[in-house]
Amino acid sequence: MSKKNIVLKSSNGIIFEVEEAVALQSETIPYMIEDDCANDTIPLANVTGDILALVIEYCKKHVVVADGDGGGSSSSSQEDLKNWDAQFMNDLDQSKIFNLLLAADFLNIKTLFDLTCQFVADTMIKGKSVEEVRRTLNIEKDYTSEEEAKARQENEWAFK
Amino acid sequence: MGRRVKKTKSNNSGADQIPEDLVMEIVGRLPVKTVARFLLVSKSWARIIRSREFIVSFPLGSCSSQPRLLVAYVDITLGMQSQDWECRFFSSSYSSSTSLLSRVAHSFPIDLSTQKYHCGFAQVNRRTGTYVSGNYRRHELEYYYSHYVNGLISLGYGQEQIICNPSTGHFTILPKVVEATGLLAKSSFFGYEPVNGEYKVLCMTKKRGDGPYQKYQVFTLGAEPKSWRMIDSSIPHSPLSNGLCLDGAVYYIASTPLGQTSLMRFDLRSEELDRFTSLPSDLQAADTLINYEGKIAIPLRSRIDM
Repeated sequence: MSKKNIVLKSSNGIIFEVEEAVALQSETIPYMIEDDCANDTIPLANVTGDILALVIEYCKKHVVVADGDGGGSSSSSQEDLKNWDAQFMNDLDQSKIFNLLLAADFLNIKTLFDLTCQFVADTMIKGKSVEEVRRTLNIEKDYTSEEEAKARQENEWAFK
Repeated sequence: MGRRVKKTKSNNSGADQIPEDLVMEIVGRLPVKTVARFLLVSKSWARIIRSREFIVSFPLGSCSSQPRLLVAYVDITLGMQSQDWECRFFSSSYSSSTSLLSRVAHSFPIDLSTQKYHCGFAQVNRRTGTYVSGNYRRHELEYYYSHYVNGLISLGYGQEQIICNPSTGHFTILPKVVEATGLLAKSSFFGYEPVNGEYKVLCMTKKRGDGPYQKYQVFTLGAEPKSWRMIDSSIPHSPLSNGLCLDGAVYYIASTPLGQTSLMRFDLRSEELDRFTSLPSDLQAADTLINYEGKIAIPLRSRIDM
């Protein structure tokens, strides 16, 4: 199989050239290829260069493992990949995580989207108090104290 | 377009607001018990968690492929003045332990005609909506199957009918059906109509001891006024099975005139109630419908001689 490259351009004009198999983990990019001429650069107006670099790093890692699948080593490589994913996410600050989530959503990369959603759920929400979640996610409290007390009482079982 | 991202960078203490559909995805990946707690985060979170889309997808999340069992356990304490009805919902899957989803409790005033225990138990494969196993105690006056449809479950107790959201513990008690006085026999079904996104209850009543059900009425969840509407049925019948909601219709087995057994179909959109097909006479003992890969299936017990 001949390897074809695809050129992606971030919102701030940074160019990335990647193998087709890497780029096609995004379910959005094929539509863009169909819409435009295949050889042209694909502009990604919603994704900045630093985030796109992360997305590509993720996709490269995952395409390699998908190729190397088969034989008895697949379960260990699955394990490796999981560890790699965990490390990958752990190295990011919150702002990067959110932007990566938005990029994964826009580019429709299902495994990356699942990974980031799960990571946000596990590290920023799970086990946290309501107040902590508001602070972390920058959510304004719009309940009055009375409303909050009432809602808390109604859902008392959930706080046990 | 890049400006928003830059702004976030300079503001490390906070984060961008996450769009609502992504909040739903993220919250949907939380352990089930945590979710009701986060109703308190903000009104928009409460709206998301209570939204129809969330009810439908949780606790699976739209991407998860793991089947779960929803177990409803009903407990009733009879007091002098009231009957305390409590239902606890549990979620269970292969990989995680069984966890409490929510608790629903309500105190019904004593009504002498219904002072009896009534137990319901339902297990539902939440992904496929398959009615995995059902168990009900046949009540002298009325009996109910629990129907789990698109995130909501219908439960019956005495003359009461209750619709619950197991994920959040919210519930609604349906108004009494329209009926003349006298002891009632009642049977009801619950379905979801995807085009208009409506949940409907079909309830049939008759005088106790009479033959087939005489009156058929429909209730739309959330509609105003909160009342039952009579519908016509050209075929008086008596249900013999649970209801199966599939593609905007509820199906159930019923005995129809002339000793026939039929598969009935209630179209949730047009609210027409008709005989869908006659069943062969050897299916007379059938009492359960299941969704088998998107098709209506009737499981039969057969005796195997060794």
